[in-house]
Amino acid sequence: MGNYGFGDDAGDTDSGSELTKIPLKSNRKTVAPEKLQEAAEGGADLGFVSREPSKKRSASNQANRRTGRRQTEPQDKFLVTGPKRVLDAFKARCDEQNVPYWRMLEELMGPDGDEQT
Amino acid sequence: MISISFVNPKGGTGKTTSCFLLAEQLARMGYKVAVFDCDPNNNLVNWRDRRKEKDAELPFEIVDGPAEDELLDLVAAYEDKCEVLLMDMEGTASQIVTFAMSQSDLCIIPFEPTPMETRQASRAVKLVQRTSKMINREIKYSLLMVRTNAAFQTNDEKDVRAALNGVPVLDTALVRRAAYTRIFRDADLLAELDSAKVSNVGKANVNAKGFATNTLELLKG
Repeated sequence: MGNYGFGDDAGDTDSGSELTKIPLKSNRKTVAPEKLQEAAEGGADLGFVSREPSKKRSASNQANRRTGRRQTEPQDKFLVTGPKRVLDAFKARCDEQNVPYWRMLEELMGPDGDEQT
Repeated sequence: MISISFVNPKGGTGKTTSCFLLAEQLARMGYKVAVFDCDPNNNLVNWRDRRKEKDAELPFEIVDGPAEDELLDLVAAYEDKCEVLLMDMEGTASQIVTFAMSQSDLCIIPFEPTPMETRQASRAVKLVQRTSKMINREIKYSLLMVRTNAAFQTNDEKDVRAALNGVPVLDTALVRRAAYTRIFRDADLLAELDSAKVSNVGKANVNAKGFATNTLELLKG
C-alpha cells in the first residue's frame, strides 16, 4: 500500500485538542441511616459483607486485649480466697476495663508496686 | 459535586487504571477532581507519593481511603472541596462498596470481556440495582470494557456483548495499551509519556478522551 500522506491510522491519533468542561448535575440525596442499613443488608445477601477487622482486634484495642502478658519477666500465680462480693466486684471491674486480673492488681498497687496509701 | 465510583468485586479488572485515566482527563478539562483510593493495594496513593518524591505536579488530589464507617463522612467533607469525586473501590465483595454506591451519581463497572470477569461484573450490576432500590434513588451505572483488542473483537467479547441483555455499556472500551501500565511504573501522567519510548501514546490519549466524553454524557446537567 502506498503512503499518500494520510498518516498512520490518522483517525485514531491524538490531535491535541482538549475536551470542554460542561455543567454536571448530581442527583444524590442524603440517605437516611435506616435506608443505608437496608442497602447494606441487601448487599450482604449478594455477598457484599463487611471486610473490616473486628473492633476488638483493631490496633487501637491491642493494648487492652486480654491475652496475657508477654513472658518477659518471671511469672507466678496464686489462689485468692475471700468474700464473694469482693472477688465478684474485682472481676467485674477487670471485665469492664477489659484488663487482665494481674494488670488491675498492678494498678491498685500503685506505680512502684507499693501498696497505695 | 458529582461522585463516580469504580466497582467490581473481582480484583485486577481495571478499576484503578480507568479511575486514574478519568481523573487525568477531567483535570485536563478544568474540573477540580479528588480521588479516594479505597483499594487496600494503594496503587493510587503510591503513585501520588512517588509523584511528590520527584516534585512533580499533582493535577488532582488523591486521598487515602477511609475505613468503612468513615466513608460517608469523608464524602460529605469533600462536597465543597471538589467538583468531581472518584472512588476507586477494592476488588472484593465488601460492604464499603454498597456505601460508596449509595453516595454515587454513577457507578462504572470495568471488566475485561472474559467469562470470569463478566460474571463478577454482573454481581456489581445486581448490587447497584438493589442499592438503588433500597435508597429510593436512581443510581446510574455502566459497564466499561477494558483491555480489549485494538484490532478486532475476540470471540469472548462478541459472546459477552451478545449476552448483555440491555445492561448499559460505555461506547468506548479501554483498549489494551502499554501506556496504561507505564503510567504506574514511573508515576507519570498519560499526557507526559514520551511517544518515542512508549508505543501508541497518541492512540491511548484518544481512547482515554473518548472514555471521559462518554462518561460525562451520562452526567450532563
